Amino acid sequence: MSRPRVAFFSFSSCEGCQLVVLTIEEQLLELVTLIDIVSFREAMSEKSNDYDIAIVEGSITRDSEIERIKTIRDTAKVVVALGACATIGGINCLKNQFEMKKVQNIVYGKMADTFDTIPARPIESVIKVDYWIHGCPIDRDEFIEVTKAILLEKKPRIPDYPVCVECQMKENVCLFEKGIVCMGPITRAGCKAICPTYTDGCVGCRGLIDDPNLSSHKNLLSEHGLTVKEAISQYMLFGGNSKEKFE
Amino acid sequence: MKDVLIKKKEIGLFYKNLKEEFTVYGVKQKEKGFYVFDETDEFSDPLEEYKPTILPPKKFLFPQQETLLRFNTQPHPDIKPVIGSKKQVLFGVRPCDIHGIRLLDKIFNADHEDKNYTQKRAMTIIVGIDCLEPCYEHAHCASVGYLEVDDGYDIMMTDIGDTFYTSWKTPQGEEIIRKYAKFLEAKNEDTDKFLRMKSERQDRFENKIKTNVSNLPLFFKNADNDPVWDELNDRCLGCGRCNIVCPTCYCFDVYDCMELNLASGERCRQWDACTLKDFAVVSTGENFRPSRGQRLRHRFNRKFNYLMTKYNASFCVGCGRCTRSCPVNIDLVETVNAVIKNNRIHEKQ
Amino acid sequence: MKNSNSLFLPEIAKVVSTRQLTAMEKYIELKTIDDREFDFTPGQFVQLSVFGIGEAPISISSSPFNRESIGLCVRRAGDVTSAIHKLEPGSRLGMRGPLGKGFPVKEMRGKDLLFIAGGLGLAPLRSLINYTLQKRDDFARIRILYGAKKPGEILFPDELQTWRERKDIELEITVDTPDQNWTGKSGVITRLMPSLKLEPENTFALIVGPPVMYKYVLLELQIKQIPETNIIMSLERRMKCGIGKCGHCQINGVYVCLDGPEFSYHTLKFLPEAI
Repeated sequence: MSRPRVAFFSFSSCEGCQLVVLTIEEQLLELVTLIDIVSFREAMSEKSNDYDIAIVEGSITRDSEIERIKTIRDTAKVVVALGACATIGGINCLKNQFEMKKVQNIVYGKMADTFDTIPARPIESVIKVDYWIHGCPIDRDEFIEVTKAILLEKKPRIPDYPVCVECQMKENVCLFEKGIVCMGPITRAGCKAICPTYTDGCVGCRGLIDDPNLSSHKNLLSEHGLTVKEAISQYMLFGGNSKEKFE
Repeated sequence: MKDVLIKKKEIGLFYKNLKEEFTVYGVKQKEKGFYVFDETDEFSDPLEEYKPTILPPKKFLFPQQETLLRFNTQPHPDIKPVIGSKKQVLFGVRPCDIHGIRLLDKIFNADHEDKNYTQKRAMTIIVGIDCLEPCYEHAHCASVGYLEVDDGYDIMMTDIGDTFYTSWKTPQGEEIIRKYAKFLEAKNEDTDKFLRMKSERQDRFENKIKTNVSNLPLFFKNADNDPVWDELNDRCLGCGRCNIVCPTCYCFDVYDCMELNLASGERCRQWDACTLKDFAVVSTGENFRPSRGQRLRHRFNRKFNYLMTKYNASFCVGCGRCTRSCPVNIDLVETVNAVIKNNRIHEKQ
Repeated sequence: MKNSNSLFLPEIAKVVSTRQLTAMEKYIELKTIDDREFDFTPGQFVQLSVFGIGEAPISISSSPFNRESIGLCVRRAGDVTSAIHKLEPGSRLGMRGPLGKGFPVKEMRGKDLLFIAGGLGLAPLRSLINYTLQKRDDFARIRILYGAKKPGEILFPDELQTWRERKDIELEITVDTPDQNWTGKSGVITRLMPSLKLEPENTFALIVGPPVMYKYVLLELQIKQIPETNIIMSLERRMKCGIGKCGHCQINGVYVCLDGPEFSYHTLKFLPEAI
């Protein structure tokens, strides 16, 4: 694809992943020689409805968003899901554990009837997605990797192995050795194990690997003192949309 | 003159002097109880406190990621090989890791010479520190016959009290001792003390594997349907850590990385792991080792059967890193002993 | 191999011609830029590079008697093969090889040959078939069984026609799912096997096809009592380095890239992961 027209879209999200795109700084200038950014709310006031690539941040949490994302799919040749909300539903899916009515009341109080809401879901559950840029937030290098892959018409190199691989290659001390629980063994790598590197347990923001051994991982968490309920709530932080896998 | 003594308090000087000519990598503490090989200003080896480093020193010969080629595609492809090497000293390599490097030497020289490895190896001086006590509970070097090492290093030092009893194996080893170390010639009584301490260590290193190591290929040949693999299939997370920390794992993935100009780029290799799901997947999507149990069986067979048969040497060096790093406590020695036991039961029936 | 230093350094080859064979397969003919002569054994393969995309192993499909160029039948299956499909005459790409051992042509001399090709398996077998036809007197009876999924997926139809017209070889073709115009045989390839009259001790069976085919073909050959040493199969595995280092193509103790990709059943039966 030669210098495709690229548009960014925000759905239910904090827009932090688009902010990450803006921090690519030194490579951003080189990047805009390859792509023509025609809509990007966080960076420019111009807008266009004529685009080849739609980069979509956020999950689908309202009926109106379903129509909107379908229109985007109809217009774009390529749809990229940007960040955990778009790729796996992300933390927005936490609300799916409750009655929607209750959620509306908690969030909007008296105004509850003014705002509709539906269980949150990744954009893939509404439209076909071509590329996924995982994480909360995304990794800059992966954004570039996916952009290059689209332009070169090749599969991006996105790992389907767990965070442990990257963590161990960096020679980190395993957090389980220090009594810190970690989703690393079941979570897709590609983040360069940034959280475990800074002694924070992985929370699974990049989603599950394709074939996670959840029962063994659950045992591991319980050996580290977590009850079944606590273990499941760990998984649910980002994995609310895959609830059935955890129970 | 053959063997020399280097006073403990002067080892730091030897270490520092080597830095005039080499990049020197030694052992340092990363966090309490965990060590790594790194470029350090000072000699910081924990000596009697030593436990195997998180990653073995193979990372300086076969790095986690390595560029193999650099290319430019416009107007026509133009490719240059990249073979990086520098003069380096690996200081404080224990016998298990020396064996690990010896085995990698065999691998990367066999059939076709892999210059990306061999040229780094040729520029590398290995200073060993011998072990008089097992370093931790997972060590089983003696079970695989790798406590003794008589090849694959340049210098070997043994802590005999307030001095290191030091011998060299290669002319380069002798040269750097003469050039950079402050030493005394070893007297007969020093040699006697050294030999006595070495012979006394035998009893301290337990034979944990319940057969002679040379029998293992046969046991593993008969263990394809051993129930142990089903049990491990349920337990193994498929996280790849056992591969990553292994001194003799050398599988790698190869990939191209284009720069943003989309005209030039690199072909690189990165450590891969046979316990990961996609390791044996072909382009049509078929996975020739789809279950975790099969992949773990493959890994054990690489150590104790396939490569062991081809090279007539155990490809497990007994460092215990895989056991220590496994999040779900899959123990290599226990697994091997289970295979042996199940084999014997099978034989009796 | 030509490379004197890095094992991973390809030489540059140029595309001489291309021909679309089916919707998925393209035939490309390559020469090295210094017009080096090719010397290979049927069954060997090369690693082709499209720089920036990657490298993929492709078996050689042309006859080893043509030394000026090599021909490869490339199925569009991944990134690299898709990129190869886009190349035009004059394009340049990287090539390493020939790699692997190839078919045991010396041992096959004087024997009856039974070629069994499934789908794309005809590509490497075509190299061997053309080799044996060139040296026709070195071999006894030659029979070729070829199975494709659909009539539209039949590779090298013109060449198949010339083989069919020759009196000194026998050819049978079957398709899994025929269309209205198909007048030939239909069904899986093993259906062609029960009626074969073979002299088992004097026959070499040479088999290349998708993994699922081997088990069933093997069963038929065992019924026919072909000796295990005379059953030669070519295996597909993931390959990265092509030179026995990276570990991906390993089946039990053997490396497909280094020790194969062709193996006798006598070897494979000791490799539980093989078939």
